[in-house]
Amino acid sequence: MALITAMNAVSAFAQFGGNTPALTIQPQQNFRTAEDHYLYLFNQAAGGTQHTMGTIPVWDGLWVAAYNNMPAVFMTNGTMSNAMNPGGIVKEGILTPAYEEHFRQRRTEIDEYGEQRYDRLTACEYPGMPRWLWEPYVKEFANTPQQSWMINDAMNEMRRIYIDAEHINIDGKHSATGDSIGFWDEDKLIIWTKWINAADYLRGMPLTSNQVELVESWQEKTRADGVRILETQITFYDPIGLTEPQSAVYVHEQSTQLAEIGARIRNWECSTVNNAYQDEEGNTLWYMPGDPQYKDPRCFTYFPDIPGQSLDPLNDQN
Amino acid sequence: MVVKMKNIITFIKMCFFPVLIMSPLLAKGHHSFAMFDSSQFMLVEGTVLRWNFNSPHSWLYIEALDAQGDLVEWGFEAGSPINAMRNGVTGNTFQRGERIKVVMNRIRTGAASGAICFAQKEDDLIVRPNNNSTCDSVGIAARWTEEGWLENAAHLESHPAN
Repeated sequence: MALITAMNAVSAFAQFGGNTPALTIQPQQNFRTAEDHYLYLFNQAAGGTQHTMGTIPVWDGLWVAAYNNMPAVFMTNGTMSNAMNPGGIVKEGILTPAYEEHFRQRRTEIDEYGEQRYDRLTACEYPGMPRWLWEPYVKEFANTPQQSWMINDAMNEMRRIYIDAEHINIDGKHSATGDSIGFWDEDKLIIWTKWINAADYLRGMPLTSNQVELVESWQEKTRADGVRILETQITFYDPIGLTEPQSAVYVHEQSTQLAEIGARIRNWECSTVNNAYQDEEGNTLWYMPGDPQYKDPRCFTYFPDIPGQSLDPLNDQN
Repeated sequence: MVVKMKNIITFIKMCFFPVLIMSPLLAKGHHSFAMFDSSQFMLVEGTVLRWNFNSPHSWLYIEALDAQGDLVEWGFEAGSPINAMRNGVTGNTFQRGERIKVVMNRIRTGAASGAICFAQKEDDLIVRPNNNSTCDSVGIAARWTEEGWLENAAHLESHPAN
């Protein structure tokens, strides 16, 4: 299994010109649960590194998702390019029967229509974990000794990692990003996440169950071309969706280009501006001007007769 | 003019070559794009009504004549602001009232809508507010320029993607 995963990683690595030194590092043991895995790493780190604001790794700047080999876990020809496009070949036995059957149906739809016809994010649902790791927008990371904050442009979806803490769920429910605790092992941030909503790894990829738990190891590295990257080694524990735990690697890279052009993360306005919907036949469509459901994000106001209510004061088109 | 445009396209290709390499990574948006006919690109010429530079996807609305000579409002989905910025596009790229040519993949329903690949302004400047994974706007703009379609194609004329 480790060899296959490594080969898949190498294959996926090659498609990006060999510029991304990202290979999956398999867990040191075949852990049965995420908890076993996390506690093993915690003990290996002798309880973890107690950072101060002066010593904690600083992951400043704007970051973008650059690479991952997750599709290779589920398809024999699994690359990010193949993940959403026709031609993906499903690996047998990775997913449990119900999840594999659903994945095959999803891939059949992609083969037939060229793409999955409707994505759950269309109506502004959160990507959630683990899909958060891949979303192709912009992210920021802020580490403090007590918490790490991982901020995604998409859907304003923010992860909070509670350092040297226990899992707590006084909410009595699961959520898109779940509950994350972690510890530092020198410059590595180890995270265990649980109580995550059932979702999917990506559009075109399999579903995750509401029992999925994740163990991540984050570390900043410098790529051969000098670009700062954040490498995330992750193991998916999903006793309902997976026949056994699976591991993958995700990479974010710092985007100096975005910083140079003055890009800043703005509030994601999906629910107020999104006109996309799913029609009765399962296709993605959108409302247009003239449709009663149409939302015009710049011209909308509940109070058009009151000065200063336009959402577009710079151009004021009201 | 064609020579000038070719130079501009070459410059754009050089500037954005890394983006092209990374284009699979920039990926698709928050929804499926299966509803667009990606096998054809259509030219729509009209006047800008609104440029909504919003997440998750920006939208450009223009007013253009239909075959009967009536004005029709067209809406074109563009990329997310953060991805469009990588192509030099901002919230001020399109101004109300300016004349533009839009080259896009039309929605399969036949409605006055589509996914914008690129647009050409009155001063011939090509702007690329597209979603990078759904359209190679550098390559398509170069082809439309080289074929002379940008100068000679009629309003609502289509050409194959390949």
